[in-house]
Amino acid sequence: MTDTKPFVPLSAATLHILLCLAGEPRHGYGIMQDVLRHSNGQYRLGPGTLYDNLQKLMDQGLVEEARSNDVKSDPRRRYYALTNCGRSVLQADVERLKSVVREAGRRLRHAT
Amino acid sequence: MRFLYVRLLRMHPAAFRESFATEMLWIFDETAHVENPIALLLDCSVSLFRQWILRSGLWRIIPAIAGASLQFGAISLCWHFPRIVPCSAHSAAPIAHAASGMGLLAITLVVATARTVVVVALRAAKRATAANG
Repeated sequence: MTDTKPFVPLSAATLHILLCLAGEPRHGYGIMQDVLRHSNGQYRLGPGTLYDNLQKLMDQGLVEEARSNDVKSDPRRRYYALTNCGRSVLQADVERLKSVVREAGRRLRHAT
Repeated sequence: MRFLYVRLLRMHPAAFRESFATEMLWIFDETAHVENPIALLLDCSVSLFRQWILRSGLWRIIPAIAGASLQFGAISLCWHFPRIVPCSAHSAAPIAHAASGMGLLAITLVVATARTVVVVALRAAKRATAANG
């Protein structure tokens, strides 16, 4: 059982990166494009911010380097994947966000 | 612009550069025609700052110096306001007071800075070891 408390709440960049990696391993550029897509163009992650956060996540053991299944892939591309610990932390932060949204909805309903 | 980006990448810590610089440059080449290159340079500068100041632990020098200054301030108060805080040494000559005060400050600064340097060096060594496998 992973202790997720030291990692939660996640920063916006970290949350977006972990969300991108929840489905399948991706390379850096793929993560940048996916963040832009799933945030409807509202959150643009630069390469500096991305790799700075990836390094931190790898040091924390939430993300690891993965092998690419794509044989035609550019050798300069490195793939990254969530570890089990990373998945638990993402799950814990999503639960936290759900409770925030629930509470916000309840308060807004009372206010109207 | 690419030249500037390469220069900025080269200024990053070695472990980070060895792990990610090639990919970052590749992304710059892929996106420079659609993204604003100035924004990419700015993003790289922020990463440079974060790597050297935050991730390396260099920021600890600031609270270390602040802590040392506070200690020096407290010692000075003890020296110069013996009625507020009784101090047996206040009867010594003023020059001796100042000299010992400066000595204490120097020792505190050296100890605080040395501790920070050791912590930063250990972290850098650990990171370099991890990067080299």
